[in-house]
Amino acid sequence: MSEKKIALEISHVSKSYGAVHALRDVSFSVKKGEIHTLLGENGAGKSTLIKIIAGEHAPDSGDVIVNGNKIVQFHPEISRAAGVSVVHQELSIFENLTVYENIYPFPLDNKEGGIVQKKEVIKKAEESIKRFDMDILPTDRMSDLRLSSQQMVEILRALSNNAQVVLLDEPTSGLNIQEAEKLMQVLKQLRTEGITIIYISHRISEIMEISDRVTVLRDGQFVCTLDNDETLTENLLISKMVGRDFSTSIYSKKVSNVGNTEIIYEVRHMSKRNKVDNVSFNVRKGEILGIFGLEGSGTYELSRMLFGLDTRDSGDVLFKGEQLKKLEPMSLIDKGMFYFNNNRKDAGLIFEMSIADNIAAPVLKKLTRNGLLNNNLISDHAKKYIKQFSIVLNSISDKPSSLSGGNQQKVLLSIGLGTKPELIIANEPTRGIDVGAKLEILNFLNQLSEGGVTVICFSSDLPELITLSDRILVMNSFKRAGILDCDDISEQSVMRLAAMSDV
Amino acid sequence: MENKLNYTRRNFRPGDYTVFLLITLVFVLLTLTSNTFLTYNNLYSILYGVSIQFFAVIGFTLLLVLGELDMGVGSMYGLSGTLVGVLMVRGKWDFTTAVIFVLIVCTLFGVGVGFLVTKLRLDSMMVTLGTLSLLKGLTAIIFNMMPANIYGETYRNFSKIRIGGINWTMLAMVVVIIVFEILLRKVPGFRQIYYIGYNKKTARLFGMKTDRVRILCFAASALTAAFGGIVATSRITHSDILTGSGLEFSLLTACVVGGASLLGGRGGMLKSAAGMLFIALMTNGMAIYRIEPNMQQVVIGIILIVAVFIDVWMNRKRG
Repeated sequence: MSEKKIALEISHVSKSYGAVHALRDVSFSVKKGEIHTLLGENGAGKSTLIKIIAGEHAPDSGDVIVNGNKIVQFHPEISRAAGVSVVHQELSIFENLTVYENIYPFPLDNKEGGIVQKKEVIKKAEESIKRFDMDILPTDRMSDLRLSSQQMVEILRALSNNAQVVLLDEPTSGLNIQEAEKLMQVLKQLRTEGITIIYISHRISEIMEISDRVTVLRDGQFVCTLDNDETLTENLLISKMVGRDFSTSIYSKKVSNVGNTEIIYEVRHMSKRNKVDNVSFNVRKGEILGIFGLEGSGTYELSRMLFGLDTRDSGDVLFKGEQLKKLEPMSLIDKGMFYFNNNRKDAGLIFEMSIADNIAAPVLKKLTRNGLLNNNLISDHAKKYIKQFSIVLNSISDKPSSLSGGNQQKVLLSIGLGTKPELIIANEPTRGIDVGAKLEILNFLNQLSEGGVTVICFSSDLPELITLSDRILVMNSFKRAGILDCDDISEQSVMRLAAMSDV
Repeated sequence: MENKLNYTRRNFRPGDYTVFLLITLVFVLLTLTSNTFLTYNNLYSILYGVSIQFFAVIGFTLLLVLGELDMGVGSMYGLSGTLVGVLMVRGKWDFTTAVIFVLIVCTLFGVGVGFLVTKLRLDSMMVTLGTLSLLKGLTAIIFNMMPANIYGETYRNFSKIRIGGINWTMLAMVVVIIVFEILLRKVPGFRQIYYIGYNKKTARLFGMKTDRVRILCFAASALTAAFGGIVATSRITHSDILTGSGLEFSLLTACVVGGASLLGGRGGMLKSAAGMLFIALMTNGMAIYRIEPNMQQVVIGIILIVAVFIDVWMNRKRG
């Protein structure tokens, strides 16, 4: 094994997006013909790394070496020519075209002046389908195929260009067990044919089954590369994934002091097909409940359902003892709830309007005199929160885009707090902001809870949740995997529930 | 620092007031180069014409601020007048009943369009291109059912009522502009139209009923277009198959020249009226210079393209 040639080498690669270090000095190598898994929490840097290897993004520093050739210019076309192909998490297929057109979307080299030789292409497609024993025809329409077959077609496309290195980003996330099993067979077959596979997955059992080696990333940094031999256990992988030293960290484990307050919010049997499966929980007044799950576990969908942004198939919600008939933002805000979205750019702030207009938005009716909006009231309202959150700005008539990410996030909090909520649903409240602003916001959430506001915090940032939460609900495969009381919360215990297959 | 924190008026955007500059420019130019332009009768007839079409731009503007389009506005304008006529001529209805009935029917039609756009999530431009053709066809069918003659006196006189020596539609335009400027700036229920126009998803998080507001604005667009069409038909005293034809494009041009954006969030009633005045001045000027109507259409087309270009360019700069 160790004499094998190196197919891909990552050498001191770093990449930042604004203030966020997505990758820091990452180095490791992938041997030719092995299945090499990348493992890490959400935000550990796996996707960034994939994008760099695929030539979609260029690193800030460091080198990517494919089959001994250093990539000098980062462009998908160049990476493909170097023999690297990617199958992204979201399928990129042409639904209205046939299987063979999807396998060979690029014109084949031929002597007829670039005219696609239909028969020839169909024949080639047929061969590659046969190679993997699939029961589809080259002329089938993509939209008629099952998800797993569509994905196989995408893998065939990745291979069609004589790819030597194939990157698979969570290929099994949409597949059932049998389909995932089939995929494993295909990957093993590719390995015997000498093709190198870089594989990203959250399913630890799967990783144990298929990988030759596993590279663990954490917070954008390389942790270790492990051989898959007798010494590798699920627990070892989990401890490598988390394994932060809390004593030296800026984060500290929360000591819960929520007393036996009333249960203010209760969710019963929340379900939505293929998104959330029968999740129930309750929260006490002044408590901070963390909700954690790896990508695709259903936490995001659950958060949106709770605020009525997406519909649910079934389930009841009780707030202050009253069953909520209609989950719909306006009535929930009136009842004392507020939702902080995870993506300010998409929804959360209105970037074209002034900061004051933003902060006033949900409480316009309260900022009127004789039914007419009053500029002084709007301005006083905004200033109150700008002071409370010490938001750094020039003028409240500026637009939020003039602020730093952290300050934008504080404007977001101001908007919500203006409604005087008793229950806050925060979805990734600190995503994409620097550490200082992050701690400030965690502090604010803590202060709020001490003041009696209940917080439900959805986050994929585990240290943050551990710092913040009185209890943590962990989701795994759309289901509630468990709820950990404060004393039982540790990175290991949470990750075990989130990642292990047998819960 | 404390000074800086004061809430000044909304940020000044250079594009916001271009239309007033353009009006002044064209006005001065025509005044200097033509001796028929600056006469009471000419200016009066320009304003009178604008004041009738202005009805149709009320709802249209609200929709544009929301980021939606109503391309059926011109066809609705054409249908309503003919519908009132047929009810009076064939059905022997009296004028007031016919008008109220037609306005209700047209408003309900607008509600229907709103439902298609919000609940079925259809693109408003495509849906209303459909209603453009649909309503136009209906108008032609109804038109052919009627003897070709002028309408009764009550109908004809509707547009000619004068208050204090000027046509009531011009006074109505002024009142509507003032009322809507206040509503859109100062009344929460109307102010939220801007929030929704800028970002529907965010407005929803803020507890605004985005779907309901959009449906109401589609209803308003149908209602105001229908009302304008009735006044226009009254003015020409009979139904004309061409009434309202192409109006959607000139309204769109007027609004965009007035600073509205196809992406929503911008525009206002005064600006839309100013945009219409600009188009009317241009058309009047071209008529004075005996530029043939087909050429006039070419010019209006160019104005629309330039206005849209400036809108997109400004948005790109905005990032």
